Amino acid sequence: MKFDSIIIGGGIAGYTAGLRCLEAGLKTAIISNGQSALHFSSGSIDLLSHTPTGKIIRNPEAVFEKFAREFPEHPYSKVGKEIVFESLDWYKKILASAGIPLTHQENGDNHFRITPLGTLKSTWMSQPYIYQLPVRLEEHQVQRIIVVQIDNFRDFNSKMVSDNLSQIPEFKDIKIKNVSVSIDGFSGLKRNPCELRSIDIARILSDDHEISLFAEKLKKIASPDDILILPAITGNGDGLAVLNKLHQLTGLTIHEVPTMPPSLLGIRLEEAMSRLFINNGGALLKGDQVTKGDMAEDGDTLRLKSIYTRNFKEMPLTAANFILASGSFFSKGFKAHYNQIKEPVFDLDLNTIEERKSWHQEQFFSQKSHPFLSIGIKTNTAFNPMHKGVVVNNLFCTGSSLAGYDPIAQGCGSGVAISTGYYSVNQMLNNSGVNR
Amino acid sequence: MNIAQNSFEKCIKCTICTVYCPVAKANPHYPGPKECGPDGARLRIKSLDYYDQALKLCTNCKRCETACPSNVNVGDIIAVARGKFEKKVINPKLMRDFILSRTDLFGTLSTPFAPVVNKITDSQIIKTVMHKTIGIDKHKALPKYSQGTFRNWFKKNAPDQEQYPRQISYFHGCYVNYNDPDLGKDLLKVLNAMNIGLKLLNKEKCCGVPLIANGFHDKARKNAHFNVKNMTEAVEKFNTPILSTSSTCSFTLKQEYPHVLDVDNSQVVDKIEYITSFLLREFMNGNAPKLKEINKTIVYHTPCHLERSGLAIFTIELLRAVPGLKVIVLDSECCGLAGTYGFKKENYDVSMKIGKHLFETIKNSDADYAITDCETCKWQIEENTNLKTIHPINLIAQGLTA
Ligand SMILES: Cc1cc2nc3c(=O)[nH]c(=O)nc-3n(C[C@H](O)[C@H](O)[C@H](O)COP(=O)(O)OP(=O)(O)OC[C@H]3O[C@@H](n4cnc5c(N)ncnc54)[C@H](O)[C@@H]3O)c2cc1C
Ligand code: SF4
Ligand code: SF4
Ligand code: SF4
Repeated sequence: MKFDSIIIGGGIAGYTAGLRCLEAGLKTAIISNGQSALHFSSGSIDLLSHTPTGKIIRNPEAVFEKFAREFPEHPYSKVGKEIVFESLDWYKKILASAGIPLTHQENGDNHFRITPLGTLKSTWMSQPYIYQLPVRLEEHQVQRIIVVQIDNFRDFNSKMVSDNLSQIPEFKDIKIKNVSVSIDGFSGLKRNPCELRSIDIARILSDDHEISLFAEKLKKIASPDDILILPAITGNGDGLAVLNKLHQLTGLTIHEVPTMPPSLLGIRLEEAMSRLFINNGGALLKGDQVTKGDMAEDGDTLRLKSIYTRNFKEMPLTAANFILASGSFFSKGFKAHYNQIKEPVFDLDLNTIEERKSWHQEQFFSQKSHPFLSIGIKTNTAFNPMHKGVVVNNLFCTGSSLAGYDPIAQGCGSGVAISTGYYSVNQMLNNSGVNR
Repeated sequence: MNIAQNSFEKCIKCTICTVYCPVAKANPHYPGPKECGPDGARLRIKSLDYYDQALKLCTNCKRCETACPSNVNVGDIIAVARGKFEKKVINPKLMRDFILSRTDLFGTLSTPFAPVVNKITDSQIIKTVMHKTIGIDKHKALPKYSQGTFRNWFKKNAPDQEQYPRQISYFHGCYVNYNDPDLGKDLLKVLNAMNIGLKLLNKEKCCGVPLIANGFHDKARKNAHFNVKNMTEAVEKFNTPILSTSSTCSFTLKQEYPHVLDVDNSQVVDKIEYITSFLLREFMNGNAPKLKEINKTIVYHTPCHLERSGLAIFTIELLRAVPGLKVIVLDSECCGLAGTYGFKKENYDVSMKIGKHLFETIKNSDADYAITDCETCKWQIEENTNLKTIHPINLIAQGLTA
């Protein structure tokens, strides 16, 4: 089967590239093996919170040029300031059109969001029910925080949240309380409510009657000036509609935090992008895995001719250009063997670290980043990878499969995914392979 | 190799499968794929007392497997556990499950008397009686039987078919044989227009999917061995591909045999193909029949098992290759019928709740037809939307010029 472009991986990077290809009028397919890292994420778009040397960044735009000079190997430095911000703007528009309005600080600053652990994490663009605290924390306007514990729900611990929040010096004068709330719908269940995950509760709360009972209880424990911290327990795709209703019924300032997986906040993004991709005419091959490809010599470079998947063992899929958006270890974009890390589909060259001992820090929750998180595919400035040192000229790498950055420590995961996905399609359109 | 045996160890407990389970979505009492599948498998090794009767609420749609990022065969684990541990209590519902799952037996009995049988099963009184006694929901119409089987019709045409230079073997399944021979006839027309002849297997039995879904695995396994034997013969004798027009038959022949029934089909598995992937490949290799413009709008519904096989793309691309046709691809979601599931009184409400969004989208769509690859999706959509629902092959046959 023949396409103009084929994208391997259906995470935020893959969908960004896919939607852009469709915009450019290309016949496009996305192949995605299972759901992506978004199902575990906060659903906020991190742009850049720290430099690789650990310095805190308040306004990514303001420091961009300096950052690019200092860290030329970082994907942002290859994409360039203009395209990075153009891509984020584009992403914001696309998601708004799919019913998810994302917002950021007007001056371009990062903001803090309260995490499920009760710590603060710097991010850049968030969904409507994320309360954006200023990065100059002393300027916050918070008066009181109410943390809601859902009775019998084990994937969120309000006590830990309130305990940790009260350790924050800037919060020493505000009241932080945690309150237990029960959900009536649990009582009729033939199951043990302790086994319920966020998605089970979301299904109970999708009933209008349940949500109004829940709203009544919330109104009794908080007032509109408070920040009401709720675990993300609404919606199966339509979570924002349920939250809007809850907000309407209560008038409260709700702050959602992701729970243990599945994260309903991240799922919202993935489902919105996936639906848009299909509606715009894309071909989505869900639950299929790319297993290998055929390369041919093309001058002194290589060209990827076709790929095979678990379902397409015999009949190859061909395209003028391919985008690799297969994620990192967690999504099986890389595979760690005992003494070696490999990219499993094409065996592309990685910036691996030889000694296994030095893949990670001694402590799991270490302040310093784990070196394995920066392991990734080596690319040229157009994000073409190499196979045994030879450039593959019509394959472009994006998102967390790339080398040269640490999405967690530098707080830049989704930003890199969006901007490299977007940029790769620009590169592809310039590539002579597409004769249009 | 039965991969369902130990694939639960790959589970990382992320619960993503449960997010995409249509039954868990509609029925809060169903614990969902994670608990019923990999979690339960671990406990069931310890003691059978941990077997939960709630597993029979699973429709075997496999959407959990498509979603799982760790490639756990969640649906297979559940189906295998049901086959092994489900207790068969002798009561009227067992009889109902027996009737619903013996599609070939009742097809053979009914087709000679089709007009009478159809009238009887359609009557309000009989529907109420079936609802009260054996638990076939009174809202449902049982599938209509055709007068005369496809096999019988084909006998007269067989000699013609042998004149074509290329041949394929057709696994028609129960549905084409007893309920909708026209689909088989349409296939024959389309293939002939491409200069390909159609053969039948020497013999075939129901693929077994309703038997699997109702927990009659021993009988299903017998059918599987029988079908594998007949397919092997066809491949050895004629070296033809084996094509099916049912997304569920082909999924079962290819995947459920080894994964759920532990029946080795390795000698034929690569020969079995769902029709649209065969056709699209022919089209792309230049062997498309001449088609006139079909200036119609259709909505396409992806059946669960086609989604799981990853083959929906072939049907969609094939439809997009029909000149003049406007193709709207619906969100891929379960229609709620899941073979025999929605016919059962105890499942009717959940089944309707699962399908609600799909029905509403179709009702609001202004399309001329709905198109789907699965016979049971067709019943469910026609019954709940009043939109005529046809198979992709029916549509292509409409476009043939000669
Ligand atoms: C637990 C966790 C939480 C995070 N939270 C945040 C956050 O809150 N905010 C943020 O900005 N960043 C976060 N990140 C960083 C995250 O890495 C990026 O934001 C982003 O989600 C990465 O997207 P991606 O598209 O590159 O990869 P992924 O989301 O990992 O997607 C890769 C996709 O490729 C598929 N795939 C892999 N191999 C194949 C193959 N061979 N064939 C077909 N498909 C294949 C996978 O199934 C998957 O669907 C988090 C990361 C993790 C691990
Ligand atoms: S999605 Fe897969 S890994 Fe996650 S809980 Fe379900 S079976 Fe386990
Ligand atoms: S097979 Fe379908 S119904 Fe059964 S658990 Fe999986 S998703 Fe749910
Ligand atoms: S899937 Fe095919 S063979 Fe199986 S029961 Fe249905 S019609 Fe019969």
